[in-house]
Amino acid sequence: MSETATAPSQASGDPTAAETAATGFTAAKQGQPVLSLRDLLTPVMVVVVGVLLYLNVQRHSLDRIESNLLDGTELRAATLQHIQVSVTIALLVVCVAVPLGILVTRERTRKLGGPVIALANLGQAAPSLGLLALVGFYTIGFWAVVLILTAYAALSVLRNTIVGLQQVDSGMLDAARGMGMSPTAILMRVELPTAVPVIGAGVRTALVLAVGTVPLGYALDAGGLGLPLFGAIKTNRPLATFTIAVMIALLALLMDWLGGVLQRAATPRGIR
Amino acid sequence: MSESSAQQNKPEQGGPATRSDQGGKAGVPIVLTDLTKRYPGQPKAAVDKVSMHIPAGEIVVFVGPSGCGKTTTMRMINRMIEPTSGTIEIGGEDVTKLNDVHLRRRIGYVIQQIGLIPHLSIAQNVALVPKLLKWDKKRVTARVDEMLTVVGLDPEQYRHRYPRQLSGGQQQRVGVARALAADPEIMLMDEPFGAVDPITRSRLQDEFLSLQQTLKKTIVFVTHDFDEALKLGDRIAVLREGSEIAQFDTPEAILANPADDFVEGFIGEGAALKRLNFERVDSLALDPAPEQSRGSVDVSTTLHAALDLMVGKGLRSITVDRDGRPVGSISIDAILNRVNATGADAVEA
Repeated sequence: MSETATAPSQASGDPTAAETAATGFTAAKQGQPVLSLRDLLTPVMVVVVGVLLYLNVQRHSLDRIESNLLDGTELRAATLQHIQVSVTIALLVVCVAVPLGILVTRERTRKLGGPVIALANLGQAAPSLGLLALVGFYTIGFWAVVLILTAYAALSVLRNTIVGLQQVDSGMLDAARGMGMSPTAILMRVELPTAVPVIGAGVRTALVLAVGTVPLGYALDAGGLGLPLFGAIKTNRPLATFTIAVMIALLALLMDWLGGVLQRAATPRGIR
Repeated sequence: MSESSAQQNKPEQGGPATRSDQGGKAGVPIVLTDLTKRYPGQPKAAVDKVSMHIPAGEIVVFVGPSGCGKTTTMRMINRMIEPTSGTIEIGGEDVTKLNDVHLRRRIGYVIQQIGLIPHLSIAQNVALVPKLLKWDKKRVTARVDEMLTVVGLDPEQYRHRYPRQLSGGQQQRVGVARALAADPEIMLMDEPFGAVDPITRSRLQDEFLSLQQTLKKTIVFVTHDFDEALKLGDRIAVLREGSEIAQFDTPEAILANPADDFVEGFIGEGAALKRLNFERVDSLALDPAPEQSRGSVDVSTTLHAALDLMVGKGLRSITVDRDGRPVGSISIDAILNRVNATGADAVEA
């Protein structure tokens, strides 16, 4: 069969190289590795900036308030809390938005799409600071902040889940159904795996949004880097304000990077 | 239909297949009775009371203009589209009441878009239906290799690849292997070779025909290309709007006696020449072999090919060989007479 014999070299030698030669694909071949050299750029940059930030603080002589705000142990605890809140939000968003996205893309429940998206839009459009202040009247703490910001960040994952599922190739779905796969099997084994890259991108967005907005919840006592940041602003300490603000930005970058790595790890090999 | 295979198609239903892989299951007949599909809000039925007997082990091609309902009719057979009314019998069993998901596992399905699952390897794609039928692992692995070999792909080389690493033609080979993997008695094929280049298409068609020689599945094949229908079909159903059967007959009969203007229009130009594709050189009385020849054809050559050779070489006659030895000759006039004779038949009818 001459068609199958287009690349006689394929049978021997390095299979990856042979495949590349055979089909003309290059970078996207045989799945990119989960971690490549280029991917190390972000963490390296974060570390470099972090060190510079530290050296910059060391250069100054700190007053009592400043050394309280920039206390290493305190900041480490606050950072860990910050991560904890952000990751909880991202997980909660996935638990809520992915099932909703699946629901509104099913034939039978398609009608719910309008209301669900409207609700998610409302969640994002409502000013998060106002929402936090409003809820702060009634209840405070970790879960108050987590729930409000979950509503805020849900839209990105919901939208990406819907788009990710809608762009699944219709011919593939037809073939899967024609072979006798059940609707559940099609969802779990065909649709969701194909949509993973798009859904993952939404989760990353949600995570970054969370890292960036958690500080606004400082008044609700959820912990995180919001408390020292706003403390520094209120006491008019530019060095501390700058340092903590940059820390939050670095944290967002790092979380986005981590999300990207996880996203690629979760993407099936054949479509990576 | 032999008794053994009639027995087999009953308990198959989703359970593990009982028969060994050797030999494989031959086709069973499909009978459509008053099959109708009506979509809500549309005055005309998309498929209007189609009744048809599709004989076991044959390739029946549905051909017709787009929108005539040929695909809808085919898709009702595996209940991808639920019929509004009418019955479908496969091997004597009414399948309109069966669980549709389980029914589809018994029916091979090949479509133009192929629809391989991109994140599964070629082997995993081919193994899909056997796994749904809960075959044991060893049997699945062996079957995958067997099927890849059958469609002309070396298992060693292709098993672990992913669909996007294959050409369109290779992907459709995998599509056919996947449809055949669970050894279905019937196959539905919707323009399966429509998206590949003409050379690959013709090769896939040839291989598909020789595959069918050994498999003897009952195949419903949908196309809008009449030449493809002529080449592949044991029988052709020419359909017009509402899936109404304009003519259902062998390719030769349709070419010789088109039922009406619609069918004639669909055959298009060159019906007389196309007809010569279905007759072999030895269907004519041969003249004595000449002492020397400038060209020769085997007795199994079609009249079409023989005529083509003569026109190409500017010959009035050509030597006919059997097993490489001349047994006679055939003249261009004899072929033309044959064309006129069958053409006259058509006019009379």
